[in-house]
Amino acid sequence: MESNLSRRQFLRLVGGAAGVAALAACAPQTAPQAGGETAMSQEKIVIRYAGLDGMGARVEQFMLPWVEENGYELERGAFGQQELTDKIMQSVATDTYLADIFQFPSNARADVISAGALQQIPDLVLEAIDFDDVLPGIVNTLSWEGNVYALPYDGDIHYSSFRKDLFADEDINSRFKDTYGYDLSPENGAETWEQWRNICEFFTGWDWNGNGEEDDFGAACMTKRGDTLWWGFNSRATAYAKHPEDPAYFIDLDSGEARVNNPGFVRALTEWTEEMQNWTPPGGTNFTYGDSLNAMNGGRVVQTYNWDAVTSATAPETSIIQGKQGYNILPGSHEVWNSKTGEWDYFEAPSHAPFHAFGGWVIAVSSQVDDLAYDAVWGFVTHLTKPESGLKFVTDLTGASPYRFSQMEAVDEFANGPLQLGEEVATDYLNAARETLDHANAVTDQAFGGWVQYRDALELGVSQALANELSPQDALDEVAAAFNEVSERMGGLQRQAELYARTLGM
Amino acid sequence: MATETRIDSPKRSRFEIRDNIWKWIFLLPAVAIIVILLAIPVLWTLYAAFTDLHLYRIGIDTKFVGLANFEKLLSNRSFWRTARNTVVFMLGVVPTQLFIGLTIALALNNITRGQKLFRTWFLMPLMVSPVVVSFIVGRMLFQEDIGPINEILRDLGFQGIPWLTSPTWAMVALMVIDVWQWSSFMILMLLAALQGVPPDLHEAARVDGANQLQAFWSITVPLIMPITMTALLIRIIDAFKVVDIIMVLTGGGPGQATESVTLAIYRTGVKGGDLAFGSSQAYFLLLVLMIFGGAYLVLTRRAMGKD
Repeated sequence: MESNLSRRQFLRLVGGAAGVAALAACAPQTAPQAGGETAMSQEKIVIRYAGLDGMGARVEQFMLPWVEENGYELERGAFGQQELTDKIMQSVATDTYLADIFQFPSNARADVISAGALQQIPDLVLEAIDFDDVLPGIVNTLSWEGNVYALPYDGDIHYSSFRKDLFADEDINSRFKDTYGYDLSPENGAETWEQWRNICEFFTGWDWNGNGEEDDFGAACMTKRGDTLWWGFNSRATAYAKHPEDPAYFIDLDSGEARVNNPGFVRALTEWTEEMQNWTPPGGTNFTYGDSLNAMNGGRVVQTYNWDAVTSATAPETSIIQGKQGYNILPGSHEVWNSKTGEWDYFEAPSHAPFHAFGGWVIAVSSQVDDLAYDAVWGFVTHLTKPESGLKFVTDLTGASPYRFSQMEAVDEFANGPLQLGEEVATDYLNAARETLDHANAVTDQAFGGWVQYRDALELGVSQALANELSPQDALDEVAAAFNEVSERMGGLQRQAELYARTLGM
Repeated sequence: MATETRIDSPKRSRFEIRDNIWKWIFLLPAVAIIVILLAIPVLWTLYAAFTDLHLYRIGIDTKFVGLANFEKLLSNRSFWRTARNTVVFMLGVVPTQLFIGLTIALALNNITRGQKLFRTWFLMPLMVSPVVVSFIVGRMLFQEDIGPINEILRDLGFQGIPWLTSPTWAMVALMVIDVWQWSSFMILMLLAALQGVPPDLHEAARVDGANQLQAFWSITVPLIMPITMTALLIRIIDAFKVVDIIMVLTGGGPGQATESVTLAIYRTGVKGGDLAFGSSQAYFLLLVLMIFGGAYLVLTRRAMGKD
């Protein structure tokens, strides 16, 4: 039986009734004007911006001179990471105003853009910010069905980071070679996940950091459910489960069926569980993203993968490894699961599938912008995202990562600017970022509708395997069933497959 | 009588009518607020539980699905896991808090000096936000790698305890935090109950030859029972609804080992946007609490001989 009211209509009705009651109670009395008309407002134009607390503060600090120079006012809504996503999704779902401009996670683009919540970016703005300079991997996260709906701010990706200084140590290398039969590479770190595992095992349980205790380990990853486990696991799984000849990774593009319990994913989870249980500091199966960075920057582990390993390692108050890290794209694998043939394919050279984890925060203009504020709002986002502004953000401690061709060439700004990376680290970092964003077999993060639900389902299953509550196969079978259930709920397997194809730019 | 009534009634009637009108006028804002803030959400949640309402499923109309959400609930392994966790948590914390509360309240009731100081002292954990307690007591003390408890254990030659990565120990860590914070509530409630016991009853019992244990069981326990039962009911309901300390300390993990029903409802309805299934879970919890609370009150009243 169908309800007469659509979900949005109902939500609006309930919200509206409560809102009217609240407004009636709170509204100040308006003084009647001569002739019975209300006086026209002479107030300044206010630009309302909703964003992350920390990143938003940087945006405010950067934009205030422009705002004041143009005679506008800026009101900034500050939210926590998950809170911001929830707020945006709720405002989209209920068709209510949140802000003129908002920063939102590009994963949510299917939900946000297809709901008509955003304005398409005008060509004039795209020209003004030199949109052609943006890397194709990032352009995809800003677009929907060939049109651009958001502007770039952050090129979030996962890359591998490792202790270059230890890998270059002759004594350590000779002992490693005696055990595993090959040299440690201070230039590239682990090139395959097999090498990553060898390194994890080798560096666990002896005092390589010289603190007098054998409390040193191989790796630390983000493993905590409800934190960043989704990205921690997928970065570990892409090399096994993303075949170079198949554009799909999360679900099958023909049937819409979940792939997350295929042998590629199961192998990744089996190995990851062993690594996190045996070769990480205590608590390693429940590490937040920050815990994994702290373990790396505190000199407790020799390798990790993350978004912010570069910038966080530069702060002397929290890091003892400045200048000692090397960076590369995520490790690859000689064997990759082929979902089409149902077999493992062997590759002579390791197959890499770097993960565009999260895809970055993007800046968008609400479709509910007031006509009066229209020019001000577009002026604001243009100034915020033009090349010069972007370079300032990515070369400072803002948490934003590079996303333009020109930024990838700006070694000097990264080496000697506020981040003070030094030339060698800056070069390694930019090479890893560019290779990841430009990679032909890169995996775009899940961005078709309902990503929060898929994420919760995967995090539950993987965390159960990490805690030995379920075997990796059983855990991922449950995740696959949950994925299919979410797909059905969101409109059916076929509809989700179509949306997935669109997020892949197909 | 009839004459009196006829003479007095016009005056009293006018007064009563005016009084009734004013009573309702004064009550109206409160009633309106309660209706808007309580009744509408409660009824709306009930409506949602019988639909497939989903916050993030944009462009698809909502359908009435009858009891489908409740059927799904009954066969949902994940939900029953959270229900089991919640019951284990409640059974772990409430009896412990009662034991600690009663022991300390009895001790405090018998001291003659410093009672006020201790009473204030024991009030302090209640003044701290559970989120702060979870962060400071939980995440810092129970940190497995460099937390002080494991450091001390290792210095003493023991292995560190996997406080947050072992399903069993994670539940223990949550219970320790809850017991630390809410035993104070039991202490204060039971101390108040003990101070209401007339001392002359104990003196009379002593004169009659009863020893201290007999006096405690025959006089103290029956007299403090009503307050004890009320305090227990409050704590049981609170324990069933626990969410804050779990969210901060374990996030429901490792795996699903510490996820409570309330946290599952939050994840399903608020984070996941599945308002229909979240609402059915919420109503299920409400139903369980109402049945439990009702049965508890009937049984305790019967046990105390009030029915």
